[in-house]
Amino acid sequence: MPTQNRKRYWKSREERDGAPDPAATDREFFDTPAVTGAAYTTRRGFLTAAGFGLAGAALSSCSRAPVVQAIPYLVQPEEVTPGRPYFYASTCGGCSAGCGLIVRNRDGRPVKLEGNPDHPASRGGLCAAGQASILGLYDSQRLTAPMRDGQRASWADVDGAIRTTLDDIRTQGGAVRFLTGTVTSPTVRSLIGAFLKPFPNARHVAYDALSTSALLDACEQTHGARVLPRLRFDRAEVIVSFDADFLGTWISPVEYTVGYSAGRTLRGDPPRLSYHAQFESRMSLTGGRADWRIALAPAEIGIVIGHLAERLARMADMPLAPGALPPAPVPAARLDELADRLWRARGRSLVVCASQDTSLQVLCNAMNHAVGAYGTTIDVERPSYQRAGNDRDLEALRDELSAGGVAALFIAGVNPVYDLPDGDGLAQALRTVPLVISFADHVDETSSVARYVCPDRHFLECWSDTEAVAGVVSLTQPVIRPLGESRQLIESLAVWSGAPMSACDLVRAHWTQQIYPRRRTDAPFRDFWERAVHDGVVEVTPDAPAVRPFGEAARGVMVPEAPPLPDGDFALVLYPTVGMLDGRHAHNPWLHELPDPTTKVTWDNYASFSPEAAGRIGIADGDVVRLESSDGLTGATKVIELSAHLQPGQHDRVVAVALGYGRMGTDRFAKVGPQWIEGRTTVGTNGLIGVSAAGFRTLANGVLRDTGRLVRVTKTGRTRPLAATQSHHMIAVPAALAPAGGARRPIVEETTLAAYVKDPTAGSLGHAEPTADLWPPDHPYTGHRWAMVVDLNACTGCAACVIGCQVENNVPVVGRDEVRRHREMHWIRIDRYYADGDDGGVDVIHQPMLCQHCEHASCEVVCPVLATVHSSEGLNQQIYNRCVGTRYCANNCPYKVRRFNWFDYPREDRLQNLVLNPDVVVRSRGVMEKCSMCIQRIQNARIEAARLGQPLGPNAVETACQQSCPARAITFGDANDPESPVSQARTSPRYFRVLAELNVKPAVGYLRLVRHRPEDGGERRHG
Amino acid sequence: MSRRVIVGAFDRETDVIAATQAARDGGYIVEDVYTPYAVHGLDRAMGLKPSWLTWVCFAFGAFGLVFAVWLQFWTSTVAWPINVGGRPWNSLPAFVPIAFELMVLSAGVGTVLVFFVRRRLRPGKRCVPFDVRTTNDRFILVLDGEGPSDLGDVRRLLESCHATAVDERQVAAETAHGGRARATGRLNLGLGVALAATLAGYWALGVDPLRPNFEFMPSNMVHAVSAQAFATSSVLPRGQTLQDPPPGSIARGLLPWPYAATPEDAARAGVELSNPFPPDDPAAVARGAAVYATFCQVCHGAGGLGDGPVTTRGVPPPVSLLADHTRQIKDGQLFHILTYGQKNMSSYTAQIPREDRWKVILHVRQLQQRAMSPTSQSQVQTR
Amino acid sequence: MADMDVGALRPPLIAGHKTLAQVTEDVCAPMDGRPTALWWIGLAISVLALSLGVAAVWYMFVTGIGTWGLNRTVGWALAITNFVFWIGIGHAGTLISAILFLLRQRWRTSVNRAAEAMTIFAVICAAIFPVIHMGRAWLAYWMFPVPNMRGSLWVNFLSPLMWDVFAISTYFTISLVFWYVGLIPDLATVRDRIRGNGPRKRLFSFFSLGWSGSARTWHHYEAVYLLLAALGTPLVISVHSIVSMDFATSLIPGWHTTIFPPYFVAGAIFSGMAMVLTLMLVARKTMRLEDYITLRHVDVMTKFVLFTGSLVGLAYGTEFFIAFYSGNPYEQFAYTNRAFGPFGWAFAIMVICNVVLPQLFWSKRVRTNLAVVFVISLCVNVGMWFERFVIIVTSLHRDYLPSSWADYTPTMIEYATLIGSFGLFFTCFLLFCRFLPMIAIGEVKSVVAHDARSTGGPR
Repeated sequence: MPTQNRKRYWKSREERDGAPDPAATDREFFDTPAVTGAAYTTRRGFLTAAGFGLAGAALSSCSRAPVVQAIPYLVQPEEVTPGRPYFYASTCGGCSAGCGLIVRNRDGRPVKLEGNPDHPASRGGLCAAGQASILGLYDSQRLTAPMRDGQRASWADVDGAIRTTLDDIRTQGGAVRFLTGTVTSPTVRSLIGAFLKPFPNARHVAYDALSTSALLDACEQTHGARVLPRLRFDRAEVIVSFDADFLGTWISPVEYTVGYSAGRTLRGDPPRLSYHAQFESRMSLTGGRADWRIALAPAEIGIVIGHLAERLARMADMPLAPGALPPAPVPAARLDELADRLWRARGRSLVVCASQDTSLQVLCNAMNHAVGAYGTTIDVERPSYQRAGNDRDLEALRDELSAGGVAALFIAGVNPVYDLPDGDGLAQALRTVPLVISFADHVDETSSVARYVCPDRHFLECWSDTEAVAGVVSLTQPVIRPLGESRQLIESLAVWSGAPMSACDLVRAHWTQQIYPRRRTDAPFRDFWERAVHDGVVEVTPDAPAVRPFGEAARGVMVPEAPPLPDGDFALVLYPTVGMLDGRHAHNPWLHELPDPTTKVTWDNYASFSPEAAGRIGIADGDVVRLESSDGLTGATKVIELSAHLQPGQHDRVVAVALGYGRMGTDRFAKVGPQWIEGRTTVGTNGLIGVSAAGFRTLANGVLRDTGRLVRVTKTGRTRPLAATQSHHMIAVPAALAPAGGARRPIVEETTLAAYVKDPTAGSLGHAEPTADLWPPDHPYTGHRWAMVVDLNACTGCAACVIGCQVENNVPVVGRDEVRRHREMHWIRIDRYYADGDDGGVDVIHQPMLCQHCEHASCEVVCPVLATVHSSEGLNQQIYNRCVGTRYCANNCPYKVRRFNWFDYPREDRLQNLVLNPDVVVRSRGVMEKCSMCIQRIQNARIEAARLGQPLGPNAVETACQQSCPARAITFGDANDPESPVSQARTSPRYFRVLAELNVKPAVGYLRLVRHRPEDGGERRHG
Repeated sequence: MSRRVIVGAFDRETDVIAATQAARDGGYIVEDVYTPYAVHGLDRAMGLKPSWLTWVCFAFGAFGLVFAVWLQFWTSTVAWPINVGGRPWNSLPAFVPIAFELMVLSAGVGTVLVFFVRRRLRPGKRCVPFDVRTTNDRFILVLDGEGPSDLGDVRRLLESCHATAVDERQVAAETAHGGRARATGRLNLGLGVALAATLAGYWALGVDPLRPNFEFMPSNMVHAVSAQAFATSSVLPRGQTLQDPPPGSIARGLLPWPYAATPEDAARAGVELSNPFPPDDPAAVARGAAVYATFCQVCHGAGGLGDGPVTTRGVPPPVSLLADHTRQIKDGQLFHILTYGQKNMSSYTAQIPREDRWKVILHVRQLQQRAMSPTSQSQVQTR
Repeated sequence: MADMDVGALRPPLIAGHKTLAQVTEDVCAPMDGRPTALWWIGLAISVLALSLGVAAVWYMFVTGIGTWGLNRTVGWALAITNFVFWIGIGHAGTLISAILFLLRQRWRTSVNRAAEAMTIFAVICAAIFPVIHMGRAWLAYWMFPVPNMRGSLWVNFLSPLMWDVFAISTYFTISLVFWYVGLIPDLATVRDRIRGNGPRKRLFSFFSLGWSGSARTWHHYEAVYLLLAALGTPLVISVHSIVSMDFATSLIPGWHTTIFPPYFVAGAIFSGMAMVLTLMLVARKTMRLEDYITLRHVDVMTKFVLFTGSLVGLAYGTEFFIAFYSGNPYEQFAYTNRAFGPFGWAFAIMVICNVVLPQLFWSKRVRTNLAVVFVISLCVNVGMWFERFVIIVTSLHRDYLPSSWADYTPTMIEYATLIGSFGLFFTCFLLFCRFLPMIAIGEVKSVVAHDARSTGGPR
């Protein structure tokens, strides 16, 4: 009875009749769904029933057990053993970086995404957004059927109509434009080309919402090829970054983090620790890691680039005259020292810049050339294809559209109406275009004005490929039968060009013709293909465009004039966040609740000010401010209102606002989390999550800029407190009165390289654990003893582990209000501490904090019902079913890592529930929970080892947080096995335990942070 | 039957004390004295021995203490030793508070109960006072009126101690036995009623054994929220959780086997493939035996003679694995058969993982070798 | 029962040269006849408050404990504050009835009945909170070491909460027994006052266990009463010590303090005395018991409050000194934060109400001015509630890792629950005043007789 199944399957209304209907969404999402698949009362059902009174509660608190049916396979496939995980290799579609994936499947559906260690670029790392993107697959608001004029239609109608229109256009020679983001898939790229070929006037325009156009243009000027050079941070020993948040959000953060941390393992002699200087306007994740960080106004960055370029040119006697420069805002001595460092480390130094000024990029290229970076730390022969957007084309297309000269516009993978400054104007223009086809899989700003929406599939349902780096081709294979009737982009194109083919065949065909010839082995195609699909990635000979060596291009380049800031005005800096990026993840509640690595704010974007600036204009955290700016070109004034956030380390004259918020459709989160008398909604006054700041971008002179706008800031008098998991100015005690316990606490240990080289144990606060013990040692740990070590020197605070843990352990989403009430549920959090850096700067330290699994656990002793006890393998175990919820354990936990289920958190979206890990219980209300060191993964490893008749290897068990950490900061294993990496790490001189003096004997330890410092600062404390 | 008593009423405690003393000195038997409050000196006057309840209290206290210590020690070191915060099994200091509390509880409650029982105080007991004012402001002295005593003397004696009234009464001798009998009667009745009620309720409810039981708080993690492997699904195609892998996808460690289900490929497999596990790998052989016992034995029989249990139930018996031509089949071809099946035998791809298929082949080879050597024939059979 | 002749030199404890019959009459007067309008109003308010609390708790049950203002850092707040507060209130009752009995303080007889009743009601109020503060209160029975079929599964006798379970239940049981045993003769008195054979009569005869005032029974009765008093005295001390161990045995700075047991006991008696004062002052006015609860009683109790109040003040000082002296940064911060942090205002209230105001009792003029005494006793009640709040919340909300520091604001549900507990207390107390002899008739009579003997009273 397939029809009935289908009917059962269409559970959300816009999927069924194509019209997005918020009311329906709410109903769908937050009440027990219309589909009554289950016989038992859902927990929410219990609440509603209980609401009726004692009788109702009594009924639902004691009901008959349901009669459940079991439906086995008719023919069981070889891969699937019900209840056992199995794995696929694939490629992440979370952004254009194209990291390698290992997909963990259960019963024929994916349940977790992890990094693929075999991938030469990402090397097993996977960022937060990537890991969270699995939720998109089970998103009940995803479009899974075509739409025509906002109405659900059948593929037959849509295809017919589109084909006839296209025929007319072909005959009339109308302009056909294909607007996409960077297409990293060689197959898709060539198929789009093939599709557009028959049209006389057709162009494929690609742009990146987070544009790096200038970088590519500069490369074109200096090397004759418009490519994105591959940055090899792993080879760099001196890194100078101008506003590039390469560890957080810039181009390919995972790849860069892998390389960066490879350069900062203190291995070898002398210990290897690359020097990293960061010049930036706001406090970015990367800046927090820098050895030397200087906060500059956007305009000043150019000046510093000029000064530095001048110095280096002099050293390398290159012909370079960046023009008459105003005095640098940085002490010249420091600049000299920096230039000297770069010069001394010739061939091992690297300058990166995120500026959208082509001239500045050219200067940076010149610097890189001067220090011999090309061929060593920068690879132009084997460039990256992760960014190919061209803002000049985009600008041209926009003008074309407003002029009304476009007959057909295809929009795939981008959301221009949201991304671009003048969205409304663009929307108007799009309405006039005869044929607009969007491939969006949600009703978004663009697809809602498109004539046809032909939803593309989620990448986990797709056949595709990615060439992120020249010569490294990774495959995307479907890991689940498609949910719904969506169709892959390339399939649609094939249909419309009259040769329908399945995506698998299309990719295969392209590989036979294009990729296979570039092979390095002499395997027959079948083996080559199957091996590629199996491994997920294959290395072939790159076919990069020819580049010419760095020429004289940079000779005449001038640093652009920087008009001084008018008094009272702020320079606006728009930036992407780790979770939202350009807003493509706006439908992902996990990422909305993911605390920003630096600000720790969730569920919102906000206007960041430096504390000084805030004091100057008299605003405090949470005050709603109005940002006003008049567009230089059109003269139209744009206004947004946001809560203010005070950000230490940010430049005084800068206000920073995150992009990617205020997306259409985020009203779905209005009721996320528990609903009760004093509960408040998660959405803002505009009914959305955050406010879109895209209006403040500028698309002019061929570049899409996010910085440089001048804004006037005024107080509105209203306040809307931000939901931060951690606030940084909570010492309400007068500093004079709180010398000991206040601002400075011996929690994070840090030292300088100089001190470290002298004495590896430098920076230790010398908290020798008390040796005297009241109790006799009654509990020997024979067999395994699980332990973890976190290397603070490697950790960048990127928060990939937080999401990894959330997915693995079914950690619920609680919503903005609950986070504001300090009730977030993440089992692993990343504590962020500020400290005074040198020359007035601010240091940031990230310390991942999870259950420390203390041997003398203070939580266990106080539990009256033995709901938390110690395992024979040294784990602190929480028994949910036994817990009665006294919360005594949480009170008595010095690390405050225990999480309590204050409510029954909504689990009524049955589609979304498919992402839940069946190995982990979904905790109900009134139960304490916390990190279990992924006990289920330990058990799986144990079972697998037993099946193969082998002992549990030292690396057999990987926790979720450890697996996808791009920086490899987390080590987990058996401390009783002297060979295991964790035992090695525990013997490191940098090893320390937080709050060791309490003698709780944590099983989790940390490795001290080591930083370059001009002067030997010795150890410093944080709080 | 009834007895004669002499009752004297007084208004002041001093008088009644004096009277009691005098009466005892006068050789009268003081039945009892009824007072509105505890009159001091009266016990001396009546010559009562100090109360022995102190010892009862001590005994109960001792019991409570011992029991508490034993309970805590036994549960946390014998019955259920469990590592709590690294503390030793027997954390005696932590047991002190509860031991003390239980001691007090048992001592207090015990003493009071004994007091009630001893003094026949029980709820609902009826009390017939000689004078309702005894509980208000009057003191009543009751002397045993039996025996050779003249009322006149008594009256004179008591009035000399300001008795307000003296007379004699007949009282029904309160037989303890009668009271107890009544009590037991009531108790039995109550129990009977309770039993009847239970039976009636049981019959009325009518228990259907096929009906699932009640669950207490099913919302408390009684049912999994995540999709269970064999469960129905309201959102997945076919209405079930188990889904088929997408065509063409290749899971880790499961590269497609490059042989089709054709006799030619079977032959080719026999030629091209060889068992990756050496026959002298004990672990592999053991595993093979286990797999054989699980999947093959039912048809092929323990010894591989094709005499598995099902063959006695009408399933056409498979060829003996020990037959010459089966012995000729190459490992690769056997693997092919296991993978795709043959004649009556169906594919075992899903049941037996690849390496296990090779291992079970090892076991089959062993059976065949054993079959060669007649000595071990018996073993094979007995296995 | 008191045997020695201290009363001789003092003014009589019971004024107005009562005869025994008068005593009975006076004490039982409020019990027959229609209740006063005042009583009705009081009951109405109490019941209203009570039902508000019930509604709040019910809403919390069906919605989740998240309806309280707690968070991942502050796991305990108002509920546990109320718990400790009420337990403390209860202590004065046991103190008056048990300890003062052992000390042969004969003035106690006028107040001990009410004080014991107060104990019981307070313990009831207290016992509610540990149960409802549990995330899954419907599993509260797991707290008892019941043999079960979940495998060999017992409770954790190392946990102070487990000690609490035993301490509270023991305390409640013993208090109840003590109270009831003391009540029996008076029940008999009332029984015999009632004419006819109405339900009230039957009720009283049922509960008076057929008490006949026999001297032989009195003889044992005395022993039992003495034993209970002897048991109750160490019990009352142990109970609040154990309650304090909930905090003292933890490792949270501000909780982990060895001074807590004596400190808590003193505080408990302090607050309890204050509550007794409050209630008695109201009772003697509204129920015209001035002759029984005389200025002398008030005087003694105010002295008690003064003494224990000073003890508490000393404890506060000691805590701070030790924190400073320990050199432990966390400890030092905890106490600086307690005094000057975001909850400094609560700390101020606590110090003023508990330490400063009671010092006024040094002056006799204040002690004899009932209005002032009443106000101060109220303040002490408030102050002691805040003491528990300060200890619990300020210690929790900023402990070791600054990253986890949080603040706490109660929700209306929590306030409603607090109000409800007061509603419950006063409802019970008002019903008690109306339906049971509020003063131990038997004991007072013995005192009257004693006064008569020593001061040549009537006849």
